[in-house]
Parts: sequence; C-alpha cells; structure tokens
Amino acid sequence: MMVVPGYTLADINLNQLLNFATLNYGERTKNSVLELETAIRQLKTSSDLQKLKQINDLVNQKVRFDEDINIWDKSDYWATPLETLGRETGDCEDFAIAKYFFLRQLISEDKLRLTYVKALIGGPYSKIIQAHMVLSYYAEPNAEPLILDNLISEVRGASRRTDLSPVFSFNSEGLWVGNSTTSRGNSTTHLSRWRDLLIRARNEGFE
Amino acid sequence: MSLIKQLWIAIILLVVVAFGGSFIISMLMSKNYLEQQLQTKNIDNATALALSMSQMQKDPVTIELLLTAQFDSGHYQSIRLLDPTGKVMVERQSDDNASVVPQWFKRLVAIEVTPGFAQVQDGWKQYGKIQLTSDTRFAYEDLWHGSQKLLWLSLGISLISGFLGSLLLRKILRPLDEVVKQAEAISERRFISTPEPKTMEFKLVVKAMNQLSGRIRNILDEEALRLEKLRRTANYDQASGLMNRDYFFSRVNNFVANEETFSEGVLVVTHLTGLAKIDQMLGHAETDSLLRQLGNALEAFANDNPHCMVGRLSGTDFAVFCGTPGNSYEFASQIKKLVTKAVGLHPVYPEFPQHTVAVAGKFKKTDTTEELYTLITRVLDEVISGEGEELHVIDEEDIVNQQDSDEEEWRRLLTAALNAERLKLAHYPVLNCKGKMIHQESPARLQLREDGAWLSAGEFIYWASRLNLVAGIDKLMVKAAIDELKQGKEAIGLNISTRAICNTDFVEYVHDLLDRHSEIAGRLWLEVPEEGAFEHLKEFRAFCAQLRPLGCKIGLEHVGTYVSRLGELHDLGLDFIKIDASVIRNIDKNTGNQIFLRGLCLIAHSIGLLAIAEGVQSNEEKTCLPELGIDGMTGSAIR
Repeated sequence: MMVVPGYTLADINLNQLLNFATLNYGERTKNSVLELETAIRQLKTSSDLQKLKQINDLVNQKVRFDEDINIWDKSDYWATPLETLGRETGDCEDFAIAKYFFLRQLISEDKLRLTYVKALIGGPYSKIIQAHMVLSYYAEPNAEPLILDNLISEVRGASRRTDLSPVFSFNSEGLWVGNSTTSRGNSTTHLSRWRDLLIRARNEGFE
Repeated sequence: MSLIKQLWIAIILLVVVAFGGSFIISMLMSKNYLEQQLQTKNIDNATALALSMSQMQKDPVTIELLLTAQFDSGHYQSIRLLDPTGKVMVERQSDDNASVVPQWFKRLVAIEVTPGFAQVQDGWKQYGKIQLTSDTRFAYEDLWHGSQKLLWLSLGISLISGFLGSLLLRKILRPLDEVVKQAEAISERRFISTPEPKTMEFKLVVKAMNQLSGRIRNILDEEALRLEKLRRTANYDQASGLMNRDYFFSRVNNFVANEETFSEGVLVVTHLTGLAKIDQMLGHAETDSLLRQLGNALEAFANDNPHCMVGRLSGTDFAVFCGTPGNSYEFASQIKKLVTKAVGLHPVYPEFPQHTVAVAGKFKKTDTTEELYTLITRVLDEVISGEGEELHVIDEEDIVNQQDSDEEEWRRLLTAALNAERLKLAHYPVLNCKGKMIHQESPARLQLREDGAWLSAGEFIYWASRLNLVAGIDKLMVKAAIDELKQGKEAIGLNISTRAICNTDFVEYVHDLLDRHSEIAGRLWLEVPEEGAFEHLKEFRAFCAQLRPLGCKIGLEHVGTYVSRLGELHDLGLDFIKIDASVIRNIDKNTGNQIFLRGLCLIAHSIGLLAIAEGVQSNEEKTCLPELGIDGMTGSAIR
C-alpha cells in the first residue's frame, strides 16, 4: 500500500467480505468479489488513470441500472458496494458509491469526491433534467476532475461532460477523527444516511 | 461500637454510594448526549454552509459575507474556510469566554467535540473546505446547572431516606431493648420470663432465656419440695402434723429470746385422757385420724392468731404458745373449748368420751419452755390424778404488767417520742466466716419518756401495732439508718416489718430517701420476715421492684418454714437469707437439720443469695456452720 503523508489508503478485509458474500448472495457474488480483489491487487502499481478506467469498467459491466424503488422497494436507498454487487443492479448513487469504495483502496481519499449533479438526459437536444450522482477524481486540488458515472461508460474530464452541472461534493473526510477509522459518535439513531452507509460497508469488510 | 451506630454507618454508606453513583452516571450520560449533539451540529452546519457556498458566485467579499452571516446568526465558536492546500482563507472566532460555569468544572467535565468539515465546489473545481466548531458554552452551562439541581435533589432525598431509615430502625430494634433487659435481669439473678417477640432472631434468644429461667424455677421448686419434706420429717409429728417436742421447744425458746418481738406470753398445755384407750381398742388408724383432726384444728387456730405456735409434746400432750401478752385464763379456756370441739366432732367420740385438761402458764422473758413445761406437767399430773379442775392457770396474777396499761397513755407517749425523733439504733454484728463484717444488724430503740429508758421493739411493738403508729416508727428507723451511713458507718441491716412492706406510703418514703442519698444505698441491707414476705407476696414483689434498682440489698429473715415456696423468689434478685435460729440450734448434734441446712444453702447459692445463720450461741455451732455452706453468722456467740 502506498502511504501518502496525512492519508492512508483504505483496506479490504477479504475474508469478512467473502463470508458476507457467500452468506447473503451466493457463489456468483463470491466470484465477483474475488475478481474485484484480484483486480485491485493488480492495479496497485498502475497509474491513477488506469485504476480509474479499470474499476469503472468492472463496475459498469457487473451492475445493471435500475431505480431504487424497484430494487429495494424503498425510494432512495443507498446500497453498500457488496449489496450492489450482490444484486447486480443499482441506481446512479450505488454506482458512484461502489466505485468510490473500490477506488479508495488504490487512490487516496482526498482525491476522490462524490458529487451531486444536474444531468441532462437523452442527448444534447433533450431538455429533461434529472438529479444524478457521480464520482469525481482530482489529480491535483486545483485540477479539473475526471468523472465516472453510469450514463457514459468512459472516464472523461469534466469539461467534456457538458450534460452535467455540479451542485455539491462530499467524501468521508471529517467523519473520521485524525487517522483513526472510528467515527465519532456511536449512536446509530443519530447517523446521517452517509455515515450509516459507511458503517454498514465497514461491517461488511470495507474499511 | 453499638449495633445502632454500626447500622447507621452502613445505611449512610449505602445511601452515599447509591446517590453518588447515580449522580456521576447521570452526569456522564448528559455529557455524552451533549457531545453527540454538538458533533452532529458541527457536521450538519458545515455541510449546510458548504452547500450554500457551492451555489454562489465565488468573489471574496460575498464569500466572507456569507461566512460572517452564518457565524453571527448562530452559536459558533469558530468557522473557517480553508483553500484546497489547507491555508486559511476566511476565519471567524468567538473570543467571548464569559460564563457562569467555573473553570474547574469545565476542566473536570471536558466536553470534546471535533469540528465539522464540508467541501465547497466552484463548478467542478474544488474551491475549499469549511471547518466549523459550535459553541460549547451552552453545553457546559446545561451540565453545570443540571448537576447542581441533581446534587440538591440527591441531598434532599438522601436526608429523607435517612430520616425514614432511622424510624424504621427504631421500630425493628425495639424488641432488642426488651431482649437486653431480660439478659441483664438474668445476669442480676432475676430469672424473669418475657413474651417472645416476632422477629425471628430475637425470638430465638428470648426463647432460650425463657427456657433458662423456667428450668431454674423448676429446679428451685423441686429442691424446695425435697427440702420441705426433710424438714417435715425432722421436725414434725407424723400423726398430728404439728411440731414435735424438740422443735416446738426450740422455736418457742427462740421466739422468746428475741427481745425485739417478745416481752410476755402464755403457754397452754392440754392433755387428752382416754387417748390411750382408743389406741388400745381401735388401733393406730383411728387414733391417727383423731390426732390429725385435732392437729388441723389447732394449726388453723395458730394461723389465725399472730405469734401463735402449736406442738405435740408427748403422746397425749398438746401445747399452744401465744407470744403476745393477754389474759391467761381466757386464752386457756379458749384453747380447751377448741380442743374439746375438735375431738368431739370425730365419729369415734361418742364411744370414747375424752376429757380435756388444760393448764396455762404465763411466759416471761426469763422463762424457758422446758422449765415452764416441767412446772405445767406437774400441775397436769395433779389435776389428772386428783380429778381436779380441768382448767387451771398457774400464775393467778393476771394483769398486763406494762408500765402504762392505758391505751391513751400509750398513744400520747408514742406520738411524743415519734415527733421528737427519740429513736436510735442498736448494733449487733453480722460477720462472715473469715470474721469480716457483713453488716450491723440494727434494731430500733425508742425512748418513750424524756430521759427515760430506751425500750426495745418487743416492749412497744404491741401497742404501736394496735395504735397504727408502726409506720411512723419504721420511717424514723430508715431515716436514722441513712444518717448513720452518711456519717460513715460501714453497712447497716434494718428489720422491715410485714406491715411496713404492705404500706405503699412507707415504700415510697424509703424510695425517695434512697434516691436522694444514692451513694450510700449499697450499704443498706433490708430484711423482711419470711412469713410476712410469703403471706404478702404481691406487696413484697412490689417492694423489691421499687427499691432494688436503687442499689440497696434486700433479703429474708427467720427463714426455715416456707422452704417449699423458695422457688417463687427466683425472679426477685434477693441478696441474702437469714436462717431461723430454730434450725441453727445445736446444729452440730442434729444431723437431720445438718442435711436440711446444707440443702438450703445450696439452693440459696444457686440463685445468688448469701446464707446467714441467726442465733449462733455456741462455739460448736460456730465451727460447724461454715462447713454446711453458711456464708455469715450472727448471734450471742458473735457479739
């Protein structure tokens, strides 16, 4: 693992993940997890761009798009990466979140953001606007980000994604105190959705 | 440390721990909650600010305005905007640290909250980061006031529970007082029984103590009965149930020798002619039943009359002795009639008529029973053989030869003497077996006339009783004894009459005196005649209960007759008994009485009584008595 001063890369507890996968979803998911793990290991020495491309493709291939209400019978449920892999379906947030968790093993967190955007759906002449979420990668703090989402399968710079207008970004920084991976506050009743997700993912094996 | 104190300490500790613990826990939980709330607030507020900032035009003035607006309108300690490299772009901080909460409390509680972070976007570009910290002041104040309130409440409740606890304790431990009292009573040789309390542990203890008292009582009763049987066999005639000759002589002589109670008396001897014939013709059984009937009648008479004793002196002779002065002739005829009637009621009588011959003799202090009896027998023989008067009085001169026979004269003299307090105490030593003084037996002497003779009780007691002045004499006597004790006399023994113990006024008088002079109470020995104590047991009990707690010593004198009832004294806590001289007389030669006396001393010691012998007259008696268990002696040989 590369160690950047001030930031450490997240880790996977593989065994825990495999157990969860087998227990809840079956062989196929287990295999997916193994595949993922292999990919991540191989990507450790690659460039950032490679990492982004590979993970983006991996997730886009394995997961089909659908609305939350159809998948989970709940409107707007944020699934953990494992849940998404297991179901093999997800909505835009689930894609972004899954890619975020996987890429955290390879890229330091301060370069990654989950971004709320307005998206123009249906081509350059369409007027339909939808709420959407993407994963943004900042090579430098001041740089233009690269965007990963499920609308377009390739990784593109933000200036080339004219269908998107950004609204707000966040990641899990600030919710972990210093370098520890424990979150402040332990009452699950007080958690925001994001923190709830982070904890659920951690329980499955994603640190 | 007392049980109550220990229980109190335990209760206080428990209450302190309980409330202290809950106080601390409550505080910690509040702190936790506040910390969480603050943390959440930090995160949420930072996110909200970053969100609104992300939508805006990013010119520095607007940015700063927005931040300032947020800061001023909310409860924040600091809000910072950092650029992507971490440099501070805009900052607002609260310098106001004024608070009612003292520094030590803040340090103690130490609310730790981390700032909230959120990203600010400018289109796709990262613009910066918001770092937001809420004001913790209100949290501290909340805790401070809350903890104060809680403290007062806890104190209040613990005081109340302490108060309730004390009431409860008192109620639970009340039976303990009774238990302790009984234990103390037993240690003072008062073997009392108390009702069993409901609390199980106390019930067990009280039950055990009651059993102990009960057993002591039973043992006493059994021993006493055995002793009584011994006494009876040694001193009483089987057939008639009256005293036998030796015992009768001994008792009468003893009574006469006591100058406190005797000045003059009458001895009547009745002789039944024809008794021998009944015995010949009808045999023992009939004779015995006749004798028994006569004995009962005479005994009943003796019980009804004060200082009267009855005995069977020989096969045919029955004697009645009266210790108070009176008309010999009248007395003798009274006895003769009684005997005739008793004998006459027997079914045998019509076939075997009896003649009763009675001879009476006046008994003076100087006479002995034996001498008088010899005289009387001579006269009897004359009368029987010569068929003379069946009623004969030896001494014809029959006046009550006191100094002044007039009742009024006596009343005047006695009242004058009492008012002038012309009473003093004589002293006769009572020594223990090593020769050391136990106390001085101190009978009263009254000077009737100024510069006149000092009379002993025997000389004035008859008139004093008749005129109801005995109580006054008793009171004077106690007062004189206490005065002597205060002046330094070692120990004084007073004879308290039966009349006195039944007089509640007198008992209260003594109680007050002893209460006021409590330092000498332990050196005052009060003795009550055995007969009086047992005949008026209720009054005697009250007497003991009132006076013993003040520290004086109480005992019985002239003990020897009511031996079977000794068990009834087990719970009074008496200190001594003085055994009647009739038992002591010639003890070195009388083996029957030796066995009796040994048993009596054993019983006395078992309930913690000193056994003192009265009327010790010879050196032989003096050497014999300590071996039988006697603890002290008094008498002519001890003067």
